[in-house]
Amino acid sequence: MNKIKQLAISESGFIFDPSTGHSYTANTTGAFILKQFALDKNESEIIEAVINEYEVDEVQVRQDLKSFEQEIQRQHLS
Amino acid sequence: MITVAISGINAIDNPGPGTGIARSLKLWAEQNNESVRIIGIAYDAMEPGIYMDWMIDQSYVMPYPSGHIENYKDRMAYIIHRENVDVWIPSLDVELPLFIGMKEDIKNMGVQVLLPSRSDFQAIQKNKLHLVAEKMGVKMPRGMEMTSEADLQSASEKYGFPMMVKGPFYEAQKVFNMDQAYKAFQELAFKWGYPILAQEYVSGDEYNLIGLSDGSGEDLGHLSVKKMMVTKQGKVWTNVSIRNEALESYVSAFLNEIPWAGGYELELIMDAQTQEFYMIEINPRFPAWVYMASYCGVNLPSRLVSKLMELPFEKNSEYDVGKMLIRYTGEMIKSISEFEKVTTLAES
Repeated sequence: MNKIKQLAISESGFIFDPSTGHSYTANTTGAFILKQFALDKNESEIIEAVINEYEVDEVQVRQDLKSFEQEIQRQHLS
Repeated sequence: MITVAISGINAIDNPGPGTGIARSLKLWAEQNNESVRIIGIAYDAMEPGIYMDWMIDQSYVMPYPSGHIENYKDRMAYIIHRENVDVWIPSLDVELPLFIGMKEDIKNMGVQVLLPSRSDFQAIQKNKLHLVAEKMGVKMPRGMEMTSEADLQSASEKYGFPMMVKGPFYEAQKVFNMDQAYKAFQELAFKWGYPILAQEYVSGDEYNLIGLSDGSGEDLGHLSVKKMMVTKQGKVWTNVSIRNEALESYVSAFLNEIPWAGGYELELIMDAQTQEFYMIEINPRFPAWVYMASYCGVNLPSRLVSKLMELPFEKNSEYDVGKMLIRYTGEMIKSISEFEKVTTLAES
């Protein structure tokens, strides 16, 4: 997840990769999670942060995080 | 006052770099309290740069570089004498072999010019580029030269479709079947002559790197971009400045291999699957989007002029990442009398 640290992630969810010039759009939750990855937080810490921030169910967060991580890998961002 | 003659002022849908170079020099003059006079060198009375009087101070129409060399030299000498030209920047690919051949004559005319050696110029031609790329440690799509339709058939069997069909100097077409391949082959051969090149198609985003060196192998500045949008002819319409370590490593790899003198542009594709770069072309001049680099902090035309005029200049490559260049269409309204002047006197 080192590459995520280099990303420019705005509050609006706009993400710019300065090494490839690619840009992406995430919703606010996605941007929040990416910022957590950029802070070097592990999966449990991120789940806890998301639950605290959005008051959502842990099982759901765990599932969503997994598919989000897969998407990050698919986009060569990890 | 520094007077600089610049060609490639054909700011059309497939633009030359001339107006970008002129704009860069005007920016440098404004930022440094210098005075620069731009002499536009055109080959046709319809080149828009001739009429862009806020950027080009005076223009002259030249005989074609493919014509009689003595006529070309006489016209150059006339312009240099008339305008007291200090620096001449030939910015079109087709001019370079001619300028390299008359390097001594140009010096004797009292004008400064930065040119690669003939062997360096030849080394980056499309049919030899794979040798340079190999030494630089960058991959290149497989390709072959073609002089007949039988060669084209053989290339299509080797590389499959889509495939790139390229002219020897300019233009490339992506073709999806044999009919399109024949059409592209014939069109490009008619326009540019042989050999035509066939190249394996690599799917991915296009990246360009602009740079400058002085023949010593020293990097005098560079900047990388990702193409965001291109025209039907593959020309940049929107770019974004980036910083990519792998891409930047090709600067020293290139200059170690070829001690280039002048502006240059590396064109690469990043394979969508593997994220590896493939070299597509090296252009022997600044690209048409050169002003973007100048605006972002790496003003290479001003560094070129400063180098030749023995003025101090920065050599760093510190620039703003995430800046976008966006081309747009615009119109000028001019009197027919201005066109009349250019067509009858070959100057404006």
